[in-house]
Amino acid sequence: MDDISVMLRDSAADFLAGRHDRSRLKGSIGKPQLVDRALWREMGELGWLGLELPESLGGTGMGLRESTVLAEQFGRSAFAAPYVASSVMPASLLSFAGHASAAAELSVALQDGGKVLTLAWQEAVGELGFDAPRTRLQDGRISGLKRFVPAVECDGLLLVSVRDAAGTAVVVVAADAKGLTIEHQAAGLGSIATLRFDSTPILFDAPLLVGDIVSAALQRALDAGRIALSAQLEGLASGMLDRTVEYVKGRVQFGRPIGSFQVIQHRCVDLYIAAQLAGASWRNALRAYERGGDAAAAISAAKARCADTAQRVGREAIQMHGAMGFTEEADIGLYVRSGLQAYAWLGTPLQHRRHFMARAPGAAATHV
Amino acid sequence: MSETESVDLDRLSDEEFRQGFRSWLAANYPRELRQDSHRPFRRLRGDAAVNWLKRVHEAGWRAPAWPREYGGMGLSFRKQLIYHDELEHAGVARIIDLGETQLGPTLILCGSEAQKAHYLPRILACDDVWCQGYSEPNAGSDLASLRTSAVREGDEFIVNGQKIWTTHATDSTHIFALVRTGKFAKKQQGISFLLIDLQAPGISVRPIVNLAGEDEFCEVFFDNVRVPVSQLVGELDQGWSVAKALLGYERIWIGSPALAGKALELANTLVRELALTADAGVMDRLAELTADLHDYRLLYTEICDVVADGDKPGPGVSMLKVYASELLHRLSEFNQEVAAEYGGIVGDARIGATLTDLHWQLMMARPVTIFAGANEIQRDILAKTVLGLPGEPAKA
Ligand SMILES: Cc1cc2nc3c(=O)[nH]c(=O)nc-3n(C[C@H](O)[C@H](O)[C@H](O)COP(=O)(O)OP(=O)(O)OC[C@H]3O[C@@H](n4cnc5c(N)ncnc54)[C@H](O)[C@@H]3O)c2cc1C
Repeated sequence: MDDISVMLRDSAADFLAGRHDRSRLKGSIGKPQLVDRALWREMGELGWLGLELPESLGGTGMGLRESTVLAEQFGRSAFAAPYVASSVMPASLLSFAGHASAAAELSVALQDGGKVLTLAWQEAVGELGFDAPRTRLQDGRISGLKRFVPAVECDGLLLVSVRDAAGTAVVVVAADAKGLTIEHQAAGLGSIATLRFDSTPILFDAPLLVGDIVSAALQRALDAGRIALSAQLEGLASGMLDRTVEYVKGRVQFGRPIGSFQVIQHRCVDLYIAAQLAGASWRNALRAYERGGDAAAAISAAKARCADTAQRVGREAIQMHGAMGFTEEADIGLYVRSGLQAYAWLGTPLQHRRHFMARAPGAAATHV
Repeated sequence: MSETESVDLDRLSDEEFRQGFRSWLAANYPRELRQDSHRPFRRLRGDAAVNWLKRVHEAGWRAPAWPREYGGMGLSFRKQLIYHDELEHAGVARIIDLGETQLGPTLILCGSEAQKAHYLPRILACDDVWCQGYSEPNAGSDLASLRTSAVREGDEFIVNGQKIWTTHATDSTHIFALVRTGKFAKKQQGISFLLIDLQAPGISVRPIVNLAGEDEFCEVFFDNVRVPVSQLVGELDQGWSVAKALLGYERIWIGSPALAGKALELANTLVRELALTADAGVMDRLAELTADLHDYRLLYTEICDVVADGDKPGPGVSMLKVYASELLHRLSEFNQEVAAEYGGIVGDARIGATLTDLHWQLMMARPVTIFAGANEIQRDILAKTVLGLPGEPAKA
């Protein structure tokens, strides 16, 4: 790790130790949770939001590498803030924006944490990529349906992929605009929303992005999101494993710590190996992304690996905690729920493994 | 006279019995309480459970395993299997009716005449609802290290201590508890089996929220609770063998393929609703799970047949619980994964025409590998008793 990453990791750990109270996340199973805006603004003050923005938009020269450091730490503490959805992905997208004044204004709102931005690109279950959206733009208004959109705040800003006569575009819509109905559902530790646009006016008079760049920009945002989400998933897995190792050291049954039983030890070791694989996988995806070539196979490998690992460690962590692991009082459940959303969002392991197989150099299969 | 009293159940062929129970359930079990895609492992508790059990009782279908002299149906083990099969088939919600499944049979084996006369009819009529107070904060897998104490004072025991993970304590009127009454070299000795009224002064109950957001299990605190000595079941200090008397049968019922069957039904529904039936990869995995359940049902039936032929359940029944619970894990995870983005939702989701709650089914599958003897403990039993593997060497 370079110096900046080490510094970021340590300050994230400090921040989370001081400011992140997991007990506040409890008791809300099944109720959609909105973003803790005070914390979000603090993250802005710490300079953590919008790291992927170019210097022309107020960026600091940091990027996805630094974001993954934070995302991993956020995973390790089961932090609920929508860092991937509302910092990594919007910043990545804004860096391609053609509408300069809109991009400048949005960058400020993103960086200082005053507004929560989120991408609304998906229209159907299981969509991995950005295909031609059915949501239409006409005369400055949009109509259509977007689904599974995380972190929609009532005063939030939505970056929406649309289609008009000329092709695809990304427009900005205020979440409190007329002609928009939002249906929230609880997902992970936060929420996802179904958005119904019915002649909803766009902001800034014109699209944020138009033309050939749209699809590349959205793909890049999805890539960045998947890599950061993979880091977060590995962080969740590692965080659960740390807690479990501590727990089995302290929990005594049959006159000895349960961590002294070989079956428990071997299982912890297997999970440790799994978490190490997950780390290697997302770091490889990050390097591929930074190189700028075709990172598709590496990214899909990472998302599949890290999601599976979080799921597996969660299952075993509950088991090794015994009945305690099945309570909302213990923290494991928060990690597991957070992991379920990260697992399901931006493509499941099943989908990503196939995508990996189709794109991996030298792979036998070329279907999908 | 109840419907079943007029017929001699023993004279019915298995098939006649099956058809009889099936049609009674079809006519009587409330549709809205069935297990379905929304609640594949639906449980009834509180009033809903009591109301249904009263109806079952009135119609003479209650307590299939209890002898007739105690008001049960006195079914052969084979007919009991059919009985459970039909409950599953009809989607009848599970009821954790520990009075019927655990305490009643225990009293019939070990209870005094007075205890049987008083409690058994009250269990059948749901006048009393029982929960099980075994586990303690420091006595889980190592149950014999339990410390809740009962000290005799005249005609009473004074009970102090704490139980935990007591399922449905808030819905129950009574608790059957293991308490420490003596200290011996072997910690399994000196444990006694006590019947305790939850209304007794000095008892407090605190529900604990589980990962599905439900307050199913509880802590139960005892602060100088007075329990008449007449509430001791079996002999003083011999409660361990009282509690273990039925263990083999418990492990058979806990190994039932019913929950996995419901999870597989949901899997099929999801695959249909999500239009994945032409997806070879998904269907391969579904085929594997389906075959696993299919073969598991065969093994389950074989082992049950041995018991039905009159043998006592052996230690091998531990494998049922291990396999069934882990198959349930795999099925519930399959459901969550194939549902893609829906799998991240915590709560209800409508997928096509199906209302489901993938988080609930995943979380409710989780503890099945933990309770009633964690799978690690069951594997230990299998290793030592079935495979005859050596234990750890004694410390030098
Ligand atoms: C949903 C639910 C309902 C329950 N309802 C009741 C109830 O109504 N009444 C009641 O009395 N109890 C109830 N229990 C408690 C249950 O019986 C205990 O959870 C169980 O005995 C395990 O104990 P524990 O939770 O303390 O885990 P621990 O014993 O602390 O075990 C933690 C982990 O260590 C493992 N472990 C322990 N010992 C060994 C070993 N020797 N070798 C290898 N691994 C080991 C376990 O398998 C487990 O994975 C319930 C539990 C659950 C989850």
